[in-house]
This record gives sequence, C-alpha cells and structure tokens, in this order.
Amino acid sequence: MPQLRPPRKGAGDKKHTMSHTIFPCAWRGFPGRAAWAMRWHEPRRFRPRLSSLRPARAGRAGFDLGGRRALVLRGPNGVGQVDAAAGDRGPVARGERADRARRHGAGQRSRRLGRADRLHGHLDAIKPQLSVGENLRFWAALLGAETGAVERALAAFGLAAHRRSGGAGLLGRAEAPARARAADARAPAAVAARRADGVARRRDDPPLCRARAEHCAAGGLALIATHVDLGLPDAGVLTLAPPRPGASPPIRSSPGRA
Amino acid sequence: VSAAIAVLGRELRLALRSGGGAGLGLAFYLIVVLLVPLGVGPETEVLARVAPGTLWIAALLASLLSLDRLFQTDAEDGTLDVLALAPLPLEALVALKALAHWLTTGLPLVAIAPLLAVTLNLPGPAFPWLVASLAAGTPGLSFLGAIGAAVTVGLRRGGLLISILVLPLYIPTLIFGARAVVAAAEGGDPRVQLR
Repeated sequence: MPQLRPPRKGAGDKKHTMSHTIFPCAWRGFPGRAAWAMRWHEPRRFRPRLSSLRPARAGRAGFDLGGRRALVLRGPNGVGQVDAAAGDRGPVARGERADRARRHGAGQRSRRLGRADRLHGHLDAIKPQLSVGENLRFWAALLGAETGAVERALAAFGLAAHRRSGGAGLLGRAEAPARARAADARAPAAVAARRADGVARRRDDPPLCRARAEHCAAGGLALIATHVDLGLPDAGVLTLAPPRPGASPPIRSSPGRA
Repeated sequence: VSAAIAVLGRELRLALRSGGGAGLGLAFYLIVVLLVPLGVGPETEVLARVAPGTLWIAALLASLLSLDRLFQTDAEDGTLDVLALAPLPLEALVALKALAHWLTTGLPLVAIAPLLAVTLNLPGPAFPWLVASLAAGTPGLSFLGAIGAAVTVGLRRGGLLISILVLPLYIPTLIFGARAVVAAAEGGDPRVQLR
C-alpha cells in the first residue's frame, strides 16, 4: 500500500490530520500504465504527499473525508480528477449496500457512495429532446425525490422560466439543469465535477458553493472535482499532478482494503 | 414501479422526438421489402416463395439500425453514470430500454408486415402466422441486440461491430420465425416451428 509521508516536524497538528486512502482503480479511460503524484494538503497545517501512485485496473479509489464534510479534487486539465471522483462510485453501484459505513483510522468515519447518493457528473445527463421540466421530473421519479422537489430545484437554480424549454435551448447553461437534477432529491453524499468550459474556469461559482454548503449543512458529504480553487474554506483539497517519468512499479493491494 | 414507468416513458418520448429514431427502421423495412420484387422479378410464385424469408430478414436488419444508439447517447451525456446509481437494478434498466426499443422499432414492423406481405404475394393462411412469429421474435431481437449495444457502448462507430456480434445470435430467431411462416404458407402446421 502507498504510504503517506509523515508531516514535517512542527508543520502540522495531528488533531486535524485528514487521512486518505487510494485503492487500485478502474476509472473509465484511465491509462493503466500511468503514474500519478498526489499531494494532499491543508494550508497552514501540513502537506503529506503521496507520490508515484500507479493505480491498476479492476480496483477502485476511495477517499476518506475524515471529520470534514467536503473534499475538493484539483489538478490540471486531463490529469483525471473527474475520473477519480466518479471512480469512487463504481463498486458500490455493483451492489454494495447504500448505507455502508465503516470505521477507519483513528475512529474517523468513512463511507462510500451508494445508491442513495447523487452523482452530479461531469456531464449533464440532460436530454435536449426533453424540456428542462421533463428532464428533472424523470430524475426525480427515478431517484425518489419528494413531492415538490422539482419545483424547488427549478426555483433554486433560476430555471423556473425555462421549465418548458428544451435542453438544447440552454446552451451555456447546461450546468444549471444538471445541478438542479442533483439537488432534486436529498442524498447523503454528492459528487460534483465541474465542466472545463468558460463558466467553470471562473473561481467563483456561487450556485455550486451554495448548493454544497446547503448540502453539507444538512448532514451530507461532498466530493468536488474542479480545475480552479473554489475558495471553500471548510473543504480539504487533494491535488493531482501529472505522471512522473520513471515512476515506481504498480501498487498491488486488494480492493476494499485500506 | 414508478421508476420503471418513468424510464419507459422517457425512452419512448426520446425515441419519438429523436429524428431518425423510430421512423428510420420502418422506412428501411419498407424500402427493402419493396425493392425485392424489383430484384427477383414480378413472378408471383417466386415472390410468394421468398416472402417469409424476405420479410424476416428485412425486419432483422431494420431492428439493427437503431441499436447502436440504445446506450450510446446515454453514455455520451453522462446519463449512464447516474443510472448506475439509481435505485432501479441495472438489469431492469437494460430490460426497460430494450422493451422501449422494441415498442418503437419492432412493434411498427409487426404492424406493417401484413401490408408488405401483400406486395410479396404471401398466401393468405400465412398472414396470422407472420404477425405471430414477428410478434414473438422481434422482442428477442431487441433484447439480444442490447447485448451488442452494451458491449460496444464505448466504441466510436460501433454499429458495424454490433452487427457482427449480434447477427449470429439472431440466426435461431430468423430460422424459427421464417420457417413458421413458410409452414403456414405451404399448408403445414407452423406451431411446430414456434414451440
């Protein structure tokens, strides 16, 4: 198993240590021979570093959020932070219990995404042939949202006037219906992946930050993959760097094991 | 149940609103069957003899046309990722999508087949069996095709590969379906083929 380097002397406070665990992963499109360098940092505390990570296929990735409610995955375009975020759902989607939670590390609680969680994916999952309202009503019905959730989501994301508009007519605003879809049902955990378009390159993203804050305040967890610093003060940040030439051999560890 | 209804309703709406979706297979079926008399000649005996096979092969190829988009559009826009986390089992989702594919592609073929059978001079007693065999066989084409569509969902231009993967699986359906119609046309007992 990869090991975190110990924090530099006097640079950290163990009380705030956030552990993370990387499993061999089967992320879609992931180059099997690539190696990653991962840096897990908390400003002003310490920066343990996990380097030369070489995930293999047919496994999975896991992130322990520790005592926090949100984790931001950052890195340059193409490094794979979106796949890393989305990869966390794979094994659970194949049948693990939705409410699975386990004790990990020093009594900190960790959980995996399950069927009750919401993936606010890198892509919209919005059909242009259907209206915004139809799209959201479908997801609400499929995900078991409560009555009125669609109307609330439309209002929260400024889409009430576009209820009957086709998804194709919302060019440049495709993220809004996607977020509304993610918000139309209460879920224990939400995974968000910001698109790499012009809107997503802005540092400030009030709707996303607001949705995340509300979600976490309601007791949810959030995992966000993005290219830019969103300035979330209470979220941990895991930065992914491009592969390093001549990295170490692949890591072998059994899936599901910390 | 409400989730299943939602999936089925959405698939039907998408098929009806997408250009070249449901109508494409029907148009293809019409063209192929109507071209056959031009190719083999106007002799009614010859047309009657080739009619069961022609109608079945055309239905089989028509159902292949839209298979490549069964999962591909969902994969492209991220819908599959979210569906994987939906409370509905993935098996049920695939079955519902295949059912929607049959309702929008196979069922119109079943409905129009008797009309086209007239142009091929299919004997009268074979008409009910043509409809029955297509009604029994075309759902199988959609469900078998879903296997090929799922295998090639990550490939660009996977339509040809779907044909190579799925057409061998279609052979038993084609044989039993066409032979049942042939038996009915020749005055035999078609139930032997459908059992």
